[in-house]
Amino acid sequence: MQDSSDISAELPAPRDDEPEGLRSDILDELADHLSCAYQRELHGEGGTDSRSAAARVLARFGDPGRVARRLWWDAMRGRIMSQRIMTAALVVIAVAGVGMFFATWQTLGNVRTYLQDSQELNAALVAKLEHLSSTAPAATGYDWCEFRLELVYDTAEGRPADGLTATLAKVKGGSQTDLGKSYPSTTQQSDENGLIDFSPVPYGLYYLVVQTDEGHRLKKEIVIRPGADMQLTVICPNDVPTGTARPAVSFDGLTLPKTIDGEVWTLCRVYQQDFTVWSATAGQEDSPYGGTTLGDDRWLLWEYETVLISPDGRLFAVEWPMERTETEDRTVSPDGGGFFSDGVWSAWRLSESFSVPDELTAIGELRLPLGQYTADAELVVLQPTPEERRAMTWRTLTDEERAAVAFPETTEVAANPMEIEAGSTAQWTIKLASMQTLCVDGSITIVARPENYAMHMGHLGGVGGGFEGSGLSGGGFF
Amino acid sequence: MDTKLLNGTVEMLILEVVSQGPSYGYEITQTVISRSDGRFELKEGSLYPALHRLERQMLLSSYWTEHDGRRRKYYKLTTTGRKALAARRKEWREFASGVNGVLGLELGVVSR
Repeated sequence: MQDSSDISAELPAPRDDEPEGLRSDILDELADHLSCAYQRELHGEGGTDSRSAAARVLARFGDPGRVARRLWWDAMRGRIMSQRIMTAALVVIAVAGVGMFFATWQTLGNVRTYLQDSQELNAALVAKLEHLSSTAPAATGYDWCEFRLELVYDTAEGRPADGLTATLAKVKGGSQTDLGKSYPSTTQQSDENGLIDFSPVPYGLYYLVVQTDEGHRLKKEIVIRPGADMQLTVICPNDVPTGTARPAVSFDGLTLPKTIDGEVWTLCRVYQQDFTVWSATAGQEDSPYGGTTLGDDRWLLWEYETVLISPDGRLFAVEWPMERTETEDRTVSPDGGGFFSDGVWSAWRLSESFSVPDELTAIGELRLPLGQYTADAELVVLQPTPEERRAMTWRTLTDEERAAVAFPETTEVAANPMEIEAGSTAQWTIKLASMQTLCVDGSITIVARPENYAMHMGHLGGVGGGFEGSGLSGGGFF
Repeated sequence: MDTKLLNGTVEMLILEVVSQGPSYGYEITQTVISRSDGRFELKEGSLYPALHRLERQMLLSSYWTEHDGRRRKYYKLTTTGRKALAARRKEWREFASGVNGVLGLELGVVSR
């Protein structure tokens, strides 16, 4: 008869997760059954031998090993299936991970290839652009023109003006626009032949500005027409002959308030300005003045000459601009004078203080390049400190002091013409008698009459060489 | 008897035998053969998978005893098994009534 050890051999190999006693319980239960059946066959009615009894028991029971495996499997099926599912899941995850890895690897490879292709494409594009830029025609077509500038000194046949700077700025719509402020501009320096090549430039309206080392400046409009290349020759001033002038101040007819607690000096700025004035004596035509005319161009001295004029008429050179400090805010001042703008009265200026060098250098006169000048004069107060005269304080007139200045009733501006002769000093007297609105802050604009310059230039014609008179006419102004 | 007719009723027969009192595998087979007058001859080995299945379904519970130096496993009916047996009896009566009606046999052959 088959015992439990025989059946045990039919069972699967033991597992770690097998419940304790499962295997023995199955074997014991089946062994008990077979034993009972065997005993019954041996000792029952019509008993038989042991071999026949065992055969009959097994015939009724079936294969005990198969039954034992079935019972073991039924008991373990849940655990085994869970484990298999877990294993399958892990395998799937592992396979998916490997797949992801290879997919990522392949994607990275594609990205590397793409980046490499992009770099090669970019390099090719850059090379193409460089080739195109290097082989581009200088100025072709209708819209682009060649523009070359030739700078010479003194006359059209003069020597080349090398090392001067010239700026070409496009004027959009032809409006009066500051150079380089709103529209693109290009600045170049003339070569040893006095040449500057701005090519290619689009056709249109331009401002051309040329500046010399001495501070003379030319600003003119030029028109470059479509399809028409252009070469322009500009005559530049060189070694401009100078003359001397001695600004003076006349207080005739002017009454200063006694409340001013210091000496009243005059701060005077002499400069050239691109003015156009209405000249009544020139047939009411607009007449430009200021600057020096060379050929068709008018050059301006782009610098200020600033002097302080003492009450006894001595001149002291100071630098401009000076450091000025407003000591009070501006106020609306309808009674104390000022200007009327946009329906509002405003004071010109409140009291200001400004700095000048501790040691003032007295000069006999101003030396200026020949030309036409504008002078501004402003009354200022010198207040020496009680302790030391060198520690001086300069200030403008206060509102109250300006309001107290009594001007002559005449509105005629009488400025002495500046007469400059070679080797002598011209006396240029600024008479502080003017329209009250102009003199509220103690300043007055003095304009030298053009014909005086023409006369003066005639005096110095042999000195500078090649300078012509302004050619302007008109005997008076205002 | 064709064992195919018996397959669907083995669990019900086991529950019925065990409902009379705790019993073990060999005794259950002998009781079934005795009470069927030897008509039901099923493979005895096939009884045990059914017993273990009913035990996992909490319809039977078991315990072990010692007998003649051998361990013997007894099965007894649980409360859940008792309710399940009642429900299967009802189903069997309705099934048998229907089959008998069709076959023109008297009712009560398997009544109990």
